[in-house]
Amino acid sequence: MKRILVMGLMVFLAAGAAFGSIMLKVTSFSPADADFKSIYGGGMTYGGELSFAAGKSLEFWIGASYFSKTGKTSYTLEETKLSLIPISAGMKLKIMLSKSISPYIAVGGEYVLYKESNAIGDVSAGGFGFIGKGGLFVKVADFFGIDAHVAYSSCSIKGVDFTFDVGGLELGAGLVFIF
Amino acid sequence: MNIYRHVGFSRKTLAFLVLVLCFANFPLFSLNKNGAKQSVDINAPMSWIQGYTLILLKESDIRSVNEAKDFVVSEGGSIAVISDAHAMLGWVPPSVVDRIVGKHGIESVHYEPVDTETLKYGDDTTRTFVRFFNSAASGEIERQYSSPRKAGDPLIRDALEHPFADPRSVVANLADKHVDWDADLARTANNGGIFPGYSDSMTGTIACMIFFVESNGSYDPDTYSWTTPAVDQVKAQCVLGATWWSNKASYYNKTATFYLSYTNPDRTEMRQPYEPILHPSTDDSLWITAIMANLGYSSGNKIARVTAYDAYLKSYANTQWAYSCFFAYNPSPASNTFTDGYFSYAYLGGPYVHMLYRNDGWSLTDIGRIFSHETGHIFWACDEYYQAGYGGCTSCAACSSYRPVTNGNCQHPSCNPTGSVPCIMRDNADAICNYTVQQVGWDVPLQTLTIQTGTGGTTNPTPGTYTYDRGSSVSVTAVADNRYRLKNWSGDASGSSNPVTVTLDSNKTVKANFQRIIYPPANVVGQKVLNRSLGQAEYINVITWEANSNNSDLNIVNYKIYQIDGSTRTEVGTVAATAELKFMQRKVGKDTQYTFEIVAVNSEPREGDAASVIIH
Repeated sequence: MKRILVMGLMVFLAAGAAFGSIMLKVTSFSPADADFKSIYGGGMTYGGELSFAAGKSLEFWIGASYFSKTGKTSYTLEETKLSLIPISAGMKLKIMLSKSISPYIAVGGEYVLYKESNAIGDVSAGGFGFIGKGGLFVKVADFFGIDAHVAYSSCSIKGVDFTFDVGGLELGAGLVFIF
Repeated sequence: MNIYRHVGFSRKTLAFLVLVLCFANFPLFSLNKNGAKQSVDINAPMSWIQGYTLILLKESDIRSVNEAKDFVVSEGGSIAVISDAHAMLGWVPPSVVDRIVGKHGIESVHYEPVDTETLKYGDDTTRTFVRFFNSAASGEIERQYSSPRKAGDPLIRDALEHPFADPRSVVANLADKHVDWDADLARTANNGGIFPGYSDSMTGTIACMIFFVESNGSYDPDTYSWTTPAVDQVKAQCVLGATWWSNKASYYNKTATFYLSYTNPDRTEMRQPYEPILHPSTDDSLWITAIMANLGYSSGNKIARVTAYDAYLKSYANTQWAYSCFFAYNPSPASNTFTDGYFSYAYLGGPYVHMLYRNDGWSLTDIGRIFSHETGHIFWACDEYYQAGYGGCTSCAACSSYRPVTNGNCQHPSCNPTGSVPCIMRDNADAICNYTVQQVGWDVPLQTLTIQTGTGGTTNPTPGTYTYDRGSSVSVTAVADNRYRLKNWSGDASGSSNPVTVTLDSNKTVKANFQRIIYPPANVVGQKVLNRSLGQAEYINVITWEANSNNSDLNIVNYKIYQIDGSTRTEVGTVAATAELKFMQRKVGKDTQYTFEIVAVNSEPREGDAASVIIH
């Protein structure tokens, strides 16, 4: 998982430098699945997003993030560890309210890598889902801005014994570097 | 006069009963071939034949024979039958043979059949004894015993009340016989004026004269005359009957040595006007008084005459007791009963037995057991058979006031509603019951039963030492204290059945061992629960319980959990008593049923009773 993260981060930085902007973001993730919420609860995700313009108001974006959390199994209350890596891509429509302020909405798809390890066993899986989000970009300087957004995703994954949703609501903020 | 009566009893039924009962038995002791007592069944068929011994003597006069007999007994032997003969029979341990041969006129001791052709003694009684011994040592008697044969009708009312013997007539009969009568008169006086007879107790030495009654044709036609084979058969069977009693006496630490003598039918004294089988049994005074008169006993009735003869016989043979036995000859096609249906009988306490050569349906090889039965009456043994409408015993009451021993083996339903036991006095069985033992004057040996207990209970009867008749079966019940139970019996009992029955064939000790009950865990709950993470799950059998308050005074150190699979019990876990009283079995089948047992374990360590739980 770490090697994937490092490789992804390097590709991400290189692509951002070549085509547009890079956002480093932190989000607060609140899972939609009740079992997810019961076992692990929500938490912080860390990730980045690469965007490049496809017109005056349209951008394509691709991003990835990392979520890791420990929880308790339902009866024995033993430690269980979860890792998620959502990789998402989509289009973003920006509305230029002024030279420096532009709210936006975005939709896309995502693929989530899932790994869970506990006394019951170890399992890795993945699944496809969608994501939609809306946000506000504030350009602070020619090469730098601030992003705030809210997103909702849904991605169903089939584990060993259960199918569950690893999506949910995210509230995030990021630093955007413009090239 | 009550004597045998021919009755319409099913002979097949009786034969079956007799055969069945003859094979039943009670455990006691017998002599082995070495003459030593061993723990075997006293009532095992033919127990007397073990170690049966023939002793040949140089002299045959009664004084010499008695001297030899006393010597053998003093050396550890036991003598069953003697006579005025060069032979006596009994049981002599081989280990003492070297010590006795050559002394007191003892010529040789035999355990194997003796060649009668080379036997240097030709007298009739010696040859009778040797022939009988040979048939015993060769196994012929055992074969006769074990071969199926027909049993006769029951011995209905064959025990006649003890008769009055007029002392004056008895004395008159003994006037010229040089018999010491004073002691007998004294005994009569000590017995409240009731003549006690010459057969008070079957102990010590007993003289029996066998009379072969023969007719001379002067009144009845002389229809039947004794033949030599018939006489020999009766003589041998009388030896068998006497040996049987002597053997049984040894089990009760008694001696009973029979002096058997025979008055052959060719003796002129045996010849009298009547052919007995043509008469009812109640006519027996006709030929008995005649025979007694021929022998010089002509005063008074038959009882006085035979009593006087018994007194003479006792004096002559130097025995303690005496009785007479009259045999009448009734070969086929003669009736096998007297004309009134009776065939064999005896007076309780003597003075005589009367038998036939052929006794109703009984075999000629059964003469000995009938002779034993009638001899039992001579020594005050009660009848124990019962058949509705025909008498026998009718209650557990004693049959005589002379020795009022309860007749507890009486076959009558009022006495034994669930059945009595085989006995010589019930069905001529090769067995003897404790009641008969006491009735003939033998004390039933007492055995002690010591009952002990460990901690945690008592017994019923309570712990202690008790005395019972030998052969008694005693039931001992363990009574555990609260929170205790019977663990097992030790000593002369084993197992954990309660109550336990102890057969007192020797002194015995039994101990009831109790153990503190370790109670099963309380409030045992078993359930199958789901344990899951986000993407994985397992089912867990979860068993919880609580410590049983009844174990609060015990040092319970842990609990063991067993899984039961059919007949297999597998330990699957241990939980310390100080830990959470909970057991989990993980990754079990969702739809599988599981059975568990949970036991508390103390510091011994000993596991307690199990609590079971089934988890679906």
